[in-house]
Amino acid sequence: MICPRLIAIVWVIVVTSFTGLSKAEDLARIEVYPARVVFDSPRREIHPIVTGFADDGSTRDLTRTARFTSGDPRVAVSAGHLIQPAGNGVTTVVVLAEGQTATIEVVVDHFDRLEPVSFRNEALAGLTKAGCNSGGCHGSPSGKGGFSLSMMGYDPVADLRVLTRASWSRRTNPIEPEASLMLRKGTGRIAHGGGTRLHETDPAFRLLRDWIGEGCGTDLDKAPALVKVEVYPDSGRILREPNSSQQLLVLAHYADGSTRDVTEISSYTSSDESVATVGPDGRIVAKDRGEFAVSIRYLHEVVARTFTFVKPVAGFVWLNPPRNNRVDDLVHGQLKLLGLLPSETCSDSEFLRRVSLDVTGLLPEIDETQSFLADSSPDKRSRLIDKLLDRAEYAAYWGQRQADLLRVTKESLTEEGARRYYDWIVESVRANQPFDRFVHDLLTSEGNTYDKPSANYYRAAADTNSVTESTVQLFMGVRIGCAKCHNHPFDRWTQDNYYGIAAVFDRVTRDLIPAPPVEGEPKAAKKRRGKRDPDGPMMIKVASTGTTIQPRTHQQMKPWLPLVGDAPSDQDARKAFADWLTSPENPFLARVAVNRIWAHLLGRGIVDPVDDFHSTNPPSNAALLDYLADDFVKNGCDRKRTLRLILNSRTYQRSVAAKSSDPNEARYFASAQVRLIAAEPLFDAIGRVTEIQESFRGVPKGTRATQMPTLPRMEFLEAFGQPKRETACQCERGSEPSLAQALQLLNGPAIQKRLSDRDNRLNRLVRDGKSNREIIEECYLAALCRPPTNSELTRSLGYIDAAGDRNRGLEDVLWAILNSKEFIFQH
Amino acid sequence: MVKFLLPVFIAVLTPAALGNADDGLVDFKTQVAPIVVEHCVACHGPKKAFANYRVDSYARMMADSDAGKNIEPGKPDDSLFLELIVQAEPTGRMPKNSDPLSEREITTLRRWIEQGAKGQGIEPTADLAGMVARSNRPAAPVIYRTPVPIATIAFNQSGEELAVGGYHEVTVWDPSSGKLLRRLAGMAQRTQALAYSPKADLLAVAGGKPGESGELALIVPDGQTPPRILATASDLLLGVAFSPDGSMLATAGADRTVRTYDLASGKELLQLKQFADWVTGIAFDREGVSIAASSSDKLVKVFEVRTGKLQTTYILHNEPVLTVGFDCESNKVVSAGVDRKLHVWDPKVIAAEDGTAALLEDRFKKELSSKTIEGFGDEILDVVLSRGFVFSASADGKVRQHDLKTSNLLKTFGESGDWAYSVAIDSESKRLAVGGFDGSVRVYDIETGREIVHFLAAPGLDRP
Repeated sequence: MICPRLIAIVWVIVVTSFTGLSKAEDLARIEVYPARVVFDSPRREIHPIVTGFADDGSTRDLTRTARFTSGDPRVAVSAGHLIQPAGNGVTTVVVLAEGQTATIEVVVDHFDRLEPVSFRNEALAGLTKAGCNSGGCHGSPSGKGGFSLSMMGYDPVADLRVLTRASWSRRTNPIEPEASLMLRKGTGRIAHGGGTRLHETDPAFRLLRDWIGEGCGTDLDKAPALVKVEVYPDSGRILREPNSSQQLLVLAHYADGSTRDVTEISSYTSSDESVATVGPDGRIVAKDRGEFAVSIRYLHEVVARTFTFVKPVAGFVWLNPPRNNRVDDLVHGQLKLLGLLPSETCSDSEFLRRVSLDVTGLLPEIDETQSFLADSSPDKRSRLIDKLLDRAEYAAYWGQRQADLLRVTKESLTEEGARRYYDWIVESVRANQPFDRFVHDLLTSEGNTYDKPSANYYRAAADTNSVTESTVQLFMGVRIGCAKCHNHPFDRWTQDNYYGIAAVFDRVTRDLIPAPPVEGEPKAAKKRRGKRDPDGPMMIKVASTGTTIQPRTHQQMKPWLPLVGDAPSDQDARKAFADWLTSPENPFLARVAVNRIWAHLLGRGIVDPVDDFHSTNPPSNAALLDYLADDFVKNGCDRKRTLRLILNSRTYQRSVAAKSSDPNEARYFASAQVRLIAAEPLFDAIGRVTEIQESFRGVPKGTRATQMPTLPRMEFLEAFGQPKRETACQCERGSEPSLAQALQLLNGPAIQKRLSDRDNRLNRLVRDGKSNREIIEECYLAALCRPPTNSELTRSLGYIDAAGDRNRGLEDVLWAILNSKEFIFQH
Repeated sequence: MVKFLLPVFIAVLTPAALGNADDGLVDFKTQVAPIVVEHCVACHGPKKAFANYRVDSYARMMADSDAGKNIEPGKPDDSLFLELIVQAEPTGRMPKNSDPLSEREITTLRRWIEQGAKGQGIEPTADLAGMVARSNRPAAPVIYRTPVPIATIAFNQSGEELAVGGYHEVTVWDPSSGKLLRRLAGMAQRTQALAYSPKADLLAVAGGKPGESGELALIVPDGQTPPRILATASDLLLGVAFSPDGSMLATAGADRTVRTYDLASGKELLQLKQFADWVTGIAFDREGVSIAASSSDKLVKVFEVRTGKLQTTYILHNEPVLTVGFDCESNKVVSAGVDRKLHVWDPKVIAAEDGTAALLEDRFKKELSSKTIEGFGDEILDVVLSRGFVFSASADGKVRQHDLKTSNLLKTFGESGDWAYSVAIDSESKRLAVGGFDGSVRVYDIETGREIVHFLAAPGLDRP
């Protein structure tokens, strides 16, 4: 006997949870996309997307639960969420979801058309979808098992020959298509190194089988070219648990004006499988809260869509943290949506140390620290930021970071050339030259590299490929190197694009020229100088014709501007490229520039790595990146303005103590990140704390490591990740902790030499008659921008007393400070 | 009498028909082996052996794997073999990551185990793929849906018949009229190479099923006698040749192996595996002392027929070599392939220069005395040699006749748009036959260059 009351409770739970899930009552309307479809062949179909809109504007994907009813089954029929043509005519398909309706107008003509499977537009997409031609499989340069395809089908001519003719046509069998070796292997019926990639029910299998059965037709010339790939819905949708899925619709538009649904033969990649996965049918299933991108590939086109998935977090209450500017609004908006709390604002000591290191690369002097800590005015942080940005050290340090990427080395540019180039870069930073002008100057530079330092851009990048790859990586944030040999695997960049951009730069000539005379030089040197000396300047000029040949098509390439087309032929193509890159509408330059600034200050890019923008590496906060880029362009590409904007935000000024244990909170900038201080600033910091500065050769006395045009080889700097400046990649600067770093800090010469130097800070303070307590306090202020705590002070004093030897005791205490995490880390 | 003959007749022609019966004994060879070969051997066979379990022979199927005993004769429900196949949950189900077996296939396997899992009338260690290939002989298409590329073509001794590789058959045509004379059924899916015996009216047919099996068959080309399957291999056989005295056969294959057979006994004599890729062509020298084999590994190797000793390696192709021939007059080798050149060389001279004892590095630097003939617009796919001339078929659509001594181009045959895929000559009637990738056959008069006949070697399809 079951208690009736229990039944009642169960009933209530079932009913409420059911209505809670369906939420029919709060839907304002449903929409179906597309609302009209034209089938111009019996081989067309459409998977429409049905979206429910609630009163608050939130959306829900109803594609899988909607019911489709054809007004005339002689014209169109529906199966699940698929609509297929049945005969010529016009009809309306009614879509019913959650009690609401919408309609799709269906027009079918040419139902009697015989349309074989297209090799170029269908079979190739099937191969890509099944993964046959991926870089790890038959798409690798040497193929696999003697079977080699072009990566992602970039070379249809070669692929057709390999599939239908080469090796005695062993791979395809038009008489019995199912018996084709490529299908037998793909379905795992015959031992296949790549495993089972295809199932008989897959659309890709059916297309490949039918293409073979129809005689392996060649339509390389006839197939209409792909013009555009449209993906519905657009970026920005927010999926809210329990509605964690979203169906995508992929429509291909061709040159002949036709359109087809290619959802089933497009390939999908999620930017973060831990956040969301995408099935081969284009259905996204979100798993964990966060922003993610889905990259959709059909043939050579790659489109990215970003989404956010939010889950209610138990006990989460948004506390309306204080905001300083628009940056905070955009960061807070995302944090609130994702259910993450930002950390508190950092202390004045933390802020001072952080902002000084980030802006000038140097620790503040003790008097600066003391006056800042003592200052009680509310705008003191903002005033400090302004002050730091006006310092020469800011220009020297940020110029040095720029010089890393521009590969300023004595070896490639000569010592004189490197110095002049660095000075030119620093002056640009100091004068706050608009960044677009800076880039324009670099790209269009010509002349003697000593007289015209920006021309060193073309000396540092010694050949066309190097200029192409570094320009695109530096200023467009794209690693286009892959496209040199094959189409980019994760993005839209094709081999034609690579060589089209290369053709912009291939007219640059590089000639060594005699060095300018030096007063009072010996005869032998004068004689040597008269020659084309690799240790002298170089003349950079632009020839009238280019030489770039596309290696696959053997075509001479015309200079090409991304998203635009061929460059005008009546001028230096570099100028056309620079004009394009620096125009306010350019979608690359500003985003890359502000993202690099952001990454320098926050320790990670909004797009990260900062020079690897591609469809499956989306910005972690797209709105923020858009805003910063937009603000940058609107204000004349003012680097200092962007710095000021970020530095003044609460987001920059957050404490490192995260409030959430979510491993992704750093991606969304909920707290400041602890990170190792970079090699040069750390070296200078040790110098400043000990008061024993390194003196470098060939520069004015007092020049810091963070202000050097080029640095001599030093074990300390190398251990802490100083880049060799061999590539234009930000990744060259190491940031990983290593054993070598520990050894350098424990007993390397950079520390030991300074601790035992008679002129160091400790000895000076002892000579000045300061007490142990005063000395310890000063060391803490110098190294950590804060006085010691009582317990730190007590323990330090106790240690010095116990040591017996005062100097030795003080040295040990300072050694301990320099080896503390608080010192070597930025926080 | 009739009662006795009929079932035998059915069994020979359509062995699979037995599988339809729901009662009676399940036959391992014709019912179980095909299922195992189709669904299981890929992952539990010679190439991969997951769980240390191989099912490429009856004995191996019955042996223990990592999981112990897999088949308990008489007890299907205690057999792991069946348990994994019938499992509802796809994760651990066999065949892994593939669609499940059909109900009928499962019933066949279950009943076979129930009945004791016996291997009736078979050699327990025999390779199942070969067993299935031998017993399962699909018919050729009555009417071709689409022509097949003519990978091989051959004149018979009298020059009155032209054999052409087809689909599960060899077709025999009248080279004067283009009339279909006979269809020789019972062949493997593809026929890659044909050779008429120099002594008897006997045709050697090499081919197979790409990636799955290779087969060497012998047939009296009268259309009456079924073929005798001399040997099977793990992948397509690509070349076949008779020794000049007709006593021996040699084959080359995608299994990277050259084999020779004694024709009378059918016994395999040699198995040569010194190849890094497919062996694409094979030819005997004039005396039957040496054989030359071309390979996709970019080398041509010459062996002593009696011992199998490697006599020389020709290294100057730098691209896959697709075909090879011996000139009976000069005993020189002509080899050709992807590098679009005919290489003409004397294996004895090359062997002397090459010096097998020489350091490998030196060998590859060496200039060897060979000559090349150029002027081809695409790969060279087939060569045939006769009386000091070489006829070569190229993917540029043409067959060229060169004088071996002078290297002069004497004639060019055919301007067909598609690849000239195979070539044969009959010295007596001075006729040349070209098989096209498009399935067409063209016969020419060698002297005049005139086209005698042009037909589509695909029964049921019209003339081109």
